[in-house]
Amino acid sequence: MNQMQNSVTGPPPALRLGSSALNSRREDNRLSAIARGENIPPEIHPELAHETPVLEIDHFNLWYGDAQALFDISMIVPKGKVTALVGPSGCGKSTLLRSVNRLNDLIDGVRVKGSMRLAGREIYDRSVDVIELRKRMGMVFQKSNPFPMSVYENVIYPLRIDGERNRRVLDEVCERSLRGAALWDEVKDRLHESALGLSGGQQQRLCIARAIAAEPEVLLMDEPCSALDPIATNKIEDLMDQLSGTYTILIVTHNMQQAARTSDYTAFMYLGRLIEYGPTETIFQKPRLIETYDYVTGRFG
Amino acid sequence: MTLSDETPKAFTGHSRQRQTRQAVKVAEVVARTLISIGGIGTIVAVATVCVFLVRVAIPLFTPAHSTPSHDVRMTADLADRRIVRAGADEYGVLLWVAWSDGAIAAYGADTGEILGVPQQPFGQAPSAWSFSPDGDDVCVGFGDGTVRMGSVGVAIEFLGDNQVPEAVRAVPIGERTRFGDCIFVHTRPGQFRRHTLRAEARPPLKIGDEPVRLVAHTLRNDGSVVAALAGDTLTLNTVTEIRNFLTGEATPQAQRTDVPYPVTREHGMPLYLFLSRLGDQMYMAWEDGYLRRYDTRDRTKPVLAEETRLVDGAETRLTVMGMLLGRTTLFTGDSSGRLRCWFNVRDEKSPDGLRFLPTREFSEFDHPIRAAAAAPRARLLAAGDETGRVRLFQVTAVAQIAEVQMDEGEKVAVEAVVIGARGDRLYAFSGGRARSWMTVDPHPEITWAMLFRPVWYEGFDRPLHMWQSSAGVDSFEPKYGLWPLIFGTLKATFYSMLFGLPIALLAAIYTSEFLHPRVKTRVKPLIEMMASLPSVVLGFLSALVVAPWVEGRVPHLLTVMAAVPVTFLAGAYLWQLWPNEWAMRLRAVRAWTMVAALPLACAWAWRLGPRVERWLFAGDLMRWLDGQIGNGTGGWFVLFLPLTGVAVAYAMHTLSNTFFRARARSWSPTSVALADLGRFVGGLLLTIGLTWLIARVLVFLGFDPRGREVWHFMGTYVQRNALVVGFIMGFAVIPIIYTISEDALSAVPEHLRSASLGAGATPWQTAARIIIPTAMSGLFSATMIGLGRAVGETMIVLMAAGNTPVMQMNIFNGFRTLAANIAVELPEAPVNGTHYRVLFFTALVLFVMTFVLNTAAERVRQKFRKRAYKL
Ligand SMILES: Nc1ncnc2c1ncn2[C@@H]1O[C@H](COP(=O)(O)OP(=O)(O)OP(=O)(O)O)[C@@H](O)[C@H]1O
Ligand SMILES: [Mg+2]
Repeated sequence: MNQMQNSVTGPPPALRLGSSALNSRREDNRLSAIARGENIPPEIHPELAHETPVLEIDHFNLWYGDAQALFDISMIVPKGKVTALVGPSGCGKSTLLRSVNRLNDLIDGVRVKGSMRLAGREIYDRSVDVIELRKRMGMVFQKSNPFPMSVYENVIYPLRIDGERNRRVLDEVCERSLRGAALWDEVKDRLHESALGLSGGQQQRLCIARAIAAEPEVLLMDEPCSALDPIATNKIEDLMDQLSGTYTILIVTHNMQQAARTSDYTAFMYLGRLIEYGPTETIFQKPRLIETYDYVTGRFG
Repeated sequence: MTLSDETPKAFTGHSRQRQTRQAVKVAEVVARTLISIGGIGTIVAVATVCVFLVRVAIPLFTPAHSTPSHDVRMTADLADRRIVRAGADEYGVLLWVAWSDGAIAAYGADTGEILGVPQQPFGQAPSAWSFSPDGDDVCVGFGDGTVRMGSVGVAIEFLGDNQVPEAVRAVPIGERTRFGDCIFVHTRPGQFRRHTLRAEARPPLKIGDEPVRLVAHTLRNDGSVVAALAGDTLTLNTVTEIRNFLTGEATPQAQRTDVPYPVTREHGMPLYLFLSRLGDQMYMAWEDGYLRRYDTRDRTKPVLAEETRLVDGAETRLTVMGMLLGRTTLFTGDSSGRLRCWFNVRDEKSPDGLRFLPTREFSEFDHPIRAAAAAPRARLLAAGDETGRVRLFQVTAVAQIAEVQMDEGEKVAVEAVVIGARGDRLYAFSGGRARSWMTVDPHPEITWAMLFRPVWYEGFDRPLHMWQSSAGVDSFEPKYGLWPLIFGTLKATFYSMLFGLPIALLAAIYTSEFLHPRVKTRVKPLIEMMASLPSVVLGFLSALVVAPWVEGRVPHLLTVMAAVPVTFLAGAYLWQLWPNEWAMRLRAVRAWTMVAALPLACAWAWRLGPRVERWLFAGDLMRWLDGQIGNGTGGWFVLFLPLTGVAVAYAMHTLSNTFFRARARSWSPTSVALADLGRFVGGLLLTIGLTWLIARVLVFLGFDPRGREVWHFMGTYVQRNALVVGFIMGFAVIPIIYTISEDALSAVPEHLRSASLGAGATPWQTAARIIIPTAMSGLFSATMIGLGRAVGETMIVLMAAGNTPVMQMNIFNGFRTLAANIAVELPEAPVNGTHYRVLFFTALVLFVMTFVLNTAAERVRQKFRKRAYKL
């Protein structure tokens, strides 16, 4: 309901498109209002209402100690789609991602308010088995973090912790995951060497392989391609293409082209708040807010 | 505007001076110098300590060398006289010779000049002589059936200027001069040393009617014992002196016992007769090597205990025989050139439980041995052969110290040898000549073999590793086998690590991985504070509080050790029975239930203790340990229980898990938990059954865990034992291992933890699969540092280990470590003596042990590090 209202009352994007006097209106736009601490509701496009949500975020707030990092975030992540989170550095994208699989629990002094539901089940509830929850979500971190073990063991780690011992299964999963992460050809001869001997980009793809080896329902990717060359990036994007449909992907990226190419929906965040959220095409071509337009076209940020 | 004027615009509003300031440069130099001095100083200091240790220890191993000192002709007419015995004073100034006609003459060692006239203390020519190997006392027998006790020796007196004759006073310092029948040495201004031969005899004592052919004697506290062969009667006499109070004159009185003496002519005439120091053994030997040993423990009823042969081959003759210091070992030399040492060894089969066995053999000589003598204060033996070759041996070490030749040209038979009282001079006599050599070997009894190989000490059944550095008796031989101490050190280390290491590592893993960070910041300093507890306090605690307390509660404690893990595991499985939602909700109280499990476990184990004692140890652990009751099953059961437990758990995990998991997918959580509990109980019963079976089989095969051998891990209970020390020393090593391993675990990058948890691993899986392997090098360092601490720990073991240098793995027995040994013995070891140097050598051994340990540890650590590089 609320979402609908917002979308209706928002100023028509056409009004602002192509405006040459952007700079003169900087002070009184939403972003400066947010910076001043005003509570401005996000622009959520109506298309989202037709999607089946796999993850629902409802008035979610998060504090690191006394500093609030997420402000009243409400959004859904549609099932089987790729959703991109964009926004300037430090706006809370990673924080939001980590909140989804409760990795923030590990950080001392983190407090949350609001709720998140995965397939209708509350995530932040005492009765939730966090381990089980995390097993349903794979995560690729902003910084590559392979374990100090062999490449092979790294990839099949999720299966190992499940107690899988069948060599055939392990080998197969390892190869598939590595192929998916566009790493197979580079490492197939050194599967049993230390993963720490791989290059930075290879390590990142290894982490992606590890994440997909777990067969997660939701794949959380935090700037997976930031360390990759264009070819590898392309392959990862292909992988995301293949995965979408079966899996839900929530990806953080600073690469607007990537967001435009790969995602079905894009959410724009700023200073811990959701600003605009809608189908990628709309967000990139005719967003409702001039701020979003500025950001995605690279005029600000 | 020129180019040079163009200064870069200050971006931060502050223009940076590019030239390094002088003060910074000076500080750099000063800091570098100070750091270098500190660093080099430390290295130098450590090296100096090491060098010092080596320098003190090195004389132990320096090879002996001997230099000829004098070669003199003794001025005495030699017609038809034979040397019975010769001697020298401890300064090598005066020599004396007892001639076969009963004359005893003194000579200047450097000139050979006779001093005064030969003394005739016995009045007539003795027919038999008995000299003590380690004293001045002598006993001689005569043709009229009497014996006389007496003494022959050099009296040494220190005199002042005014106490010496005028003529002597002019002698320069360091020089000696003869005056009458003595020699004066001017030792330092105003002090002279006078050397005089003293030969005295007591009144004769009639012990038979026939001529005395052989005599032997020994002095006991309660009187002397004299054995004599007069004619064909062998008697044993206990001689006591009755002093006349009016005249002060002492008359000897003998209490005589006849010794059974079957006369055997086939062996010829008996040549040697000896009594042991206490007079409890008597030996008689014939020229052809036949020996009779009498058991004279009961002097009123001597028994012929053994007959044996002292030489090999029918033609070989026994040429010399005597006793070593302590009068327990006899040495024999024969015509084949073989020199042997013999003593009694325990033997169940012999009538008196002893057997006379050769335990040392010196086969360096190629020619018949003509003379041999033992040193009065050391276990040194000198012998000379027919060709004039003289050798000096250390008997216990079976080591040759010196080898000299009487005469380079013609081959003359050695007639007598003497070892100086300090063991530093060797004399040989032949054809009226006396030669002397200085032999420099300050520590002849120390060789590598003596320190590290089993040594057959006097009175023991077989070669043994022994450490026993001192005893009350002069004739006692110090035993410097280092293995008991090294073993003790390793034992202490082993048991303390057995207790301390698991606790410390588990505590570190718990605090770094499971404990809330805020609690951790409090707990960690608390444990670290434990490290500052002086080990004296811990030692005191263990010796006076823990040790007496543990004694009598061992079965209870063993039960507790088994009960605690079982209770925890059972609790964990029971916890699973909660429905999942409940379990999550009750998570807050889970920690408290865990805490409560500990006293619970202790409580039920305590009640079970006596029953366990009945089951496993036949109702009385102390007597069971002593081997008096029951069989070994209980011991094996205790040893194997943890091992089988782990094995069964592992086997069940690998074998049944896949099977179980495949099935359990469709079950409800409660039934899964029930099945888990069932598996646990099954595993527990299986463990107990299997352990029992193993224990029975081992006992059936004849193995008993109790005993006194090295590998027996159980045995007679001693109050201050390895269990107590291990437990308390565990406390000493825990803080240090804990701190370092906790740091290592915390240093594992957070992103690895996130990655593992993000992949759905439980905290324990994360710890076991990622954190611990990554921190392995740190954990290993921690262990090694703890090990180093345990190896060097002194106070706790000193106070609580009983300090018995025994080599038994027995957890209920004590031990002595290298460090504790140094602490106990160094204060009473005379500086630069053998004992002192050996102690320093043990310090060096300790140093080397820790060095090897640390180096090995460092290598392993580097390996681990390489595996976890680039994080
Ligand atoms: N562990 C932490 N403790 C305290 N503050 C944190 C912590 N992690 C993040 N923050 C703060 O929360 C805010 C959001 O951080 P976050 O890492 O989510 O940003 P981001 O959008 O992922 O940025 P980037 O694109 O640079 O990765 C930042 O202001 C950051 O300083
Ligand atoms: Mg980020």
